[in-house]
Amino acid sequence: MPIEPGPDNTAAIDRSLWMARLTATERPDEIAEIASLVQRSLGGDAAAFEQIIVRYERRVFNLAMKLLGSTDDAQDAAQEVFLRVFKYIHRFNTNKPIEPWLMQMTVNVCRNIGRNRQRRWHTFPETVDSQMPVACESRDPHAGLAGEQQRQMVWKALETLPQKERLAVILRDIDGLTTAEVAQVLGSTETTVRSQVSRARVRMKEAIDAMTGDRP
Amino acid sequence: MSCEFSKETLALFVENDLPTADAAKQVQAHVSVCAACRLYCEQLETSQSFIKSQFQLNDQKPVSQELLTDVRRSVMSQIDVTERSLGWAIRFERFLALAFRTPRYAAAGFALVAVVSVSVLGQMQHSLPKTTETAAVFSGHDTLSRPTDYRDWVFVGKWRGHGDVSENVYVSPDAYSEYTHTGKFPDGTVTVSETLSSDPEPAVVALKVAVKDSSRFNDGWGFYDFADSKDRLKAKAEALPQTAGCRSCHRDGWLRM
Repeated sequence: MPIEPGPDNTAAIDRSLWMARLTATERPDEIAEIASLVQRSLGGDAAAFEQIIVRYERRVFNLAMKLLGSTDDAQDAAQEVFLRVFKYIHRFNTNKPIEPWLMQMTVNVCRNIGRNRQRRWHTFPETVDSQMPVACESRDPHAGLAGEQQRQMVWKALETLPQKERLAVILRDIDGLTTAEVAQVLGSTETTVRSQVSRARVRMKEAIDAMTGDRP
Repeated sequence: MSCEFSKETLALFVENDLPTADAAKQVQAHVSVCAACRLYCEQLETSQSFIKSQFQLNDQKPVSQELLTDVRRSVMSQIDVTERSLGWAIRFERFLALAFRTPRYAAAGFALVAVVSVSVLGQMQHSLPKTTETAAVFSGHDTLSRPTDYRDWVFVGKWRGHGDVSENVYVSPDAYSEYTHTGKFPDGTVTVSETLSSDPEPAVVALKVAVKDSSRFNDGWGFYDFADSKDRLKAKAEALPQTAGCRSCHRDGWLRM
């Protein structure tokens, strides 16, 4: 059944609506629906591909917004994610849920945008003010750059993690999902998620300590 | 740390992520009496706060549907362009995915085609006449620059001439390799014959070069003599005419290769 984009939703309603579709009984249906949309997209059905976007655009955008802190960058990221989905959708295993694939792609795209942003700021510092993430409390370009450097430090720490741990800890600690929600998104168990997240936190701490010189 | 609770357990504890309330109480009881674990927990909390602070928004408004619609419209408007820009490999993968309906089978199909293609191309390469990257440097149609690094090439042999004169012959490496496999010199072959004399002192007194290039020379080979009238070596030389003595000696042997 096609999903029409709804009116403005608050974050709380947004999550409950999104998560409501992912109960254990509905999940196999969800997977089958996505599989059908993917096959139709591969066959040239643009409307089918648009349905995929409608289902996950808010999810992708919200994660990008958290990772990048800028509406413009999050828009660019969401756009890039779905263009990549279109390009590589034939590689997606339709027997599995699509969220982990989308979330991983969103993380990778945001990582690239973050890197490019830092390079741009170093080359054109006058652009800092107009593109600074809203998370920065100071509008001082120097503080903005320092803030971006701290953000990049965290990204570097994230890159020391294995992919599954990285995605789990981003969804839990940055995206703010509960352990149960992360397990649902990743098609995993809460025990596995706890194991991944706990290892990730320890490694992140060690990586950041090493970068800041605060070795134990 | 050698306490009963691991770093990973403490990493869950600081974020209230332990699976049960009882587990949390046990860790809390331990941390309250263990200075090392308490310190580690404080460090973890600092680290977690730092990480989260880099991504938390001061004013997180829900994203508007209008903005999401703009993103979707932009993506859909670029789909046609994206599809046209797909490389042949991606197009072929998509064709296989559609035909086989599973990425695994599509990947297997793609791998099979790749193996067959490489095999066929390999067979074709053996049957095609081979052209080796030439060591000859031409200016104009057939003016050749004197090779200078030929002593690093394959040394074919040495001939003793009269008195203290000797002759060394070299062949360009790729050409030699092709010759040993096929018995034919490929286009781009360069052979160098240097004549050495030790009277009055060791020196190269003559340098003759043969180059195989079917696009330049009627019977495929060009011959060059880099010695000038004063037994010095020229930097460049023009190809010897068809009537030159080289051809009469090599016509029935070497020139056929």
